[in-house]
Amino acid sequence: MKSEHPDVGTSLMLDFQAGNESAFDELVLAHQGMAFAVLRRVIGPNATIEDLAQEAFIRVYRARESYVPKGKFSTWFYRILFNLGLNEIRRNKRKPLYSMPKNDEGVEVEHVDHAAEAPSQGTHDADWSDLVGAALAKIPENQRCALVLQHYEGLDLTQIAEVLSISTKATKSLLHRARESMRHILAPQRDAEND
Amino acid sequence: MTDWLTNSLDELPLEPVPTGFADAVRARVDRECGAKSHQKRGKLLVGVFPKVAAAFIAASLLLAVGFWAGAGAKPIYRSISGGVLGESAVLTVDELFENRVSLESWELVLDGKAEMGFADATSGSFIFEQEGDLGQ
Repeated sequence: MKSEHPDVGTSLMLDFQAGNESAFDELVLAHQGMAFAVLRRVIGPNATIEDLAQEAFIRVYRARESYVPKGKFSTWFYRILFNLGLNEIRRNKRKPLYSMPKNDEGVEVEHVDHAAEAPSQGTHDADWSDLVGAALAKIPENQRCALVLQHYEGLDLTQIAEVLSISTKATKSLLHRARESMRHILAPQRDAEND
Repeated sequence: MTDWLTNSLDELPLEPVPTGFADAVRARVDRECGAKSHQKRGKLLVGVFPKVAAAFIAASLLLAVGFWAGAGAKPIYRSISGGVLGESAVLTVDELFENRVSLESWELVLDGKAEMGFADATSGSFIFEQEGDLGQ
């Protein structure tokens, strides 16, 4: 029996909950693009994106019994994606970002900071989209999530507030700060490109 | 007018979904969740059966005790038959009528009237006043 919920995601989830196993496959097909897009923007280019996206859908599958349609399916799914993405970032932060390079004999050699030798070289050669991605990765997590939801997912203030479980006023302020942070990071690069 | 930041954000590329991603999710679900859900069902049966059995036994006991104490119970008093009490308890219809008539013959006095009557006792009179004079 097909559920008649106005939200397609919720309708599929309710069908799946009612025992229709193929509804879950439809749910994956309908939301896989969203999962990859959000994870890519939250954690940056990362080899684990596919694993995290799979994990997100596994969580949806496991929530089959306990799922209660309180809002849109996507609101709930965004939360799963953000939780997974932010956990991944935190896990990576605990790992050493750099290790000393080793020579052919496996002996660590002294680290040479090439960026310090030629500070402007990297920025001029870098692709602008890489710079934007790097800037997005630098801003605080909550600002990044809000900006991703607004700019890339097209959510309005109320919807963002619902996903992030904050007030609309706080969301507005968060988005303002996110844009300010991005401008602050990217403005010097932009000026350098324009010169 | 769109500002330069919005244009910059638009330049961030989309992450393409790898081919066969949905199949990979299905395979992982079958591998991880399929096995677990069967285990869960097994556990559920093992966990639920003793509870149902215990509830059934408890309900049966309550029903038996209820029947023993209620509909199926013997009277807990001895029936009185004969003897002095038995004789005195037996009254004829005529005797009942006589008792009723003698009870009705008593003139019952209102409480207020009775109090007023005793109040007048100091003046040496126990004569009750007329109903209309009360409270004046």
